[in-house]
Amino acid sequence: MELKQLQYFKAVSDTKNMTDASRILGVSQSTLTKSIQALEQEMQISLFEHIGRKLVLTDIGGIVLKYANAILENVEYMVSDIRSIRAGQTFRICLSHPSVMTKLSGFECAHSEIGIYITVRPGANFLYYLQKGLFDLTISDTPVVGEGIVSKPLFTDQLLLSVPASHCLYTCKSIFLRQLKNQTVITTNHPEVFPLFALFIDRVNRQNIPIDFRMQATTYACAEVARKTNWLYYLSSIDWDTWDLGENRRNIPIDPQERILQTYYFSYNSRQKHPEQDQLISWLSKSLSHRKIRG
Amino acid sequence: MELAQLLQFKQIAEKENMTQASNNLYVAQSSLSKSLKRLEQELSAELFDREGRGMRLNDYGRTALSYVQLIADDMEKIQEAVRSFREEQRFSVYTSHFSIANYVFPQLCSAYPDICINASLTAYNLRALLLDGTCDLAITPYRMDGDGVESTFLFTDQVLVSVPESNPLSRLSQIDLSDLEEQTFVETKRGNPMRIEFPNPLNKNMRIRCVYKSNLDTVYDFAQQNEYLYFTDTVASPYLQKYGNRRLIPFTAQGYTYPFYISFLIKSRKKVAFLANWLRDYFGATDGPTLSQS
Repeated sequence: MELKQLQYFKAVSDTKNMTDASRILGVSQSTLTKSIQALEQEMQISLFEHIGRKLVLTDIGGIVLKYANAILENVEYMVSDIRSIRAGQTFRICLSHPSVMTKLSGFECAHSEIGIYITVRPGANFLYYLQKGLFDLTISDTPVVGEGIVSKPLFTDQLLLSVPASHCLYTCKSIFLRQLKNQTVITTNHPEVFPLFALFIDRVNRQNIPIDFRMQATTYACAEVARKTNWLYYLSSIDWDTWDLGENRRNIPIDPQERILQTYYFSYNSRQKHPEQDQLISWLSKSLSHRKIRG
Repeated sequence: MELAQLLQFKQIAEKENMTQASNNLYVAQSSLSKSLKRLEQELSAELFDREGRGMRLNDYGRTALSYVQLIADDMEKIQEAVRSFREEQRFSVYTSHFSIANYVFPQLCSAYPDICINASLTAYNLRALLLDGTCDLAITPYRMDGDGVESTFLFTDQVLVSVPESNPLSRLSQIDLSDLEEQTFVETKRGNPMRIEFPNPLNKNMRIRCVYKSNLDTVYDFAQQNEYLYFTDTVASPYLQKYGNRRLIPFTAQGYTYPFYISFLIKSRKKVAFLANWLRDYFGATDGPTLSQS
């Protein structure tokens, strides 16, 4: 098994056909085919099967892909981490989701004398990272539990809906999910990436509340659409001050009784606390609690 | 960067000694050294503090090792997943063609020693066996498309006559039924299931003598000794090379060229894909969907 074979395998799985994959990788199709066949031969399994013109992963192919992705990711992470050590980035922070990224960047800019390394790694084993000393601090949507690990709530994110003045919900103090029946809601944020949104979508589906969700590609597109329509858009309380979608809109929270809340935890190894950590945490807590919900 | 390099690095890191590591990995110390150096170049960082004979990990090395341990674990998990997948698999491959069962199936089974493949000859209705699940893959001289079954072309078989060089027929480029007057053939016993596939072309009205033997090896030996003829096909022909001073000549009477097809249930397609691909490779089939096709 070679890294190159895994890379090629991943590319074919992602694109679902040899032609696109070979174009993306910059290799000839026969090279690609030979590589996949060699990998299949080594393991004596079929990774793909043909359904019509498409290549589809077999069950065992899916399992191998899962580990192949993890291996390729870890090679990337290793290279990235070593590079950051060489660059003198001694304060090392790992996030499970991008949610808090913008706030942390703010701290980074304000304190350029501290070499900070921030990276987002969904699904990574944070307990391992902290125990091995790969990172000083992690921020994640679940607490990290383990020997010598301290894990504390950092803040609780809640869902807001931006409501235009012309909308019937404009005067509400808080919004219940059922009030969103048959509404159109836009956002750029993807549920896969933001646990709070995933929770929202899940809850809405479970309660069979029909909502027309329209994902926009960029914040600019979102702003344009919001200006022209009286549609709602959802955002998390972290984001509220990065959104400037115009006048005559209020950010109204989803009612706390709906429990669409996401607590983020920060975790560190008690034997290895970075000297700047307390400063960072207090800065972060303050900036995350400034939730001026415009009225 | 290569996975092998990373595993070699892991071994050096665990043993903290180049010599021990090279012993454990069964590689020369010099090649291990080179491998490590190339890795360090690629990462733009030295991974060890060299202290006399020992190698101790530095900060970079410790970081690298943490990730390499995860990578090594995942490599092992792939092996385990593949192993347990293969152990659960049982396959049945059937054909009505004697030569395929006799010459090709043993090679198929030995190509996959860790997988339980039941590959055999049968006279039963293969379509019925596919539909009831007894058979995963069938090789037959007819298509069986329809009702959830898919058939793809495998190869075309040709009946051959094995003729000793001393026989004037050996100079022909093809042999017809009429050429066989006054010839002596060796055959397996009438009613022997080994002769299911090709109906006996020997017409009772022709003056052709036939000697019957109990099994195929005896047929070949007897024919060799007595310079008699026998029928065979392209599948068997490579395995008859050892019988010298004979030529294999196509028998061109009507209907003695058969295309063969692989058939399987469409829903089993992925299960049998590797078997189908092996067979296509064996017969050099270029039709039909395989990964060897662009």
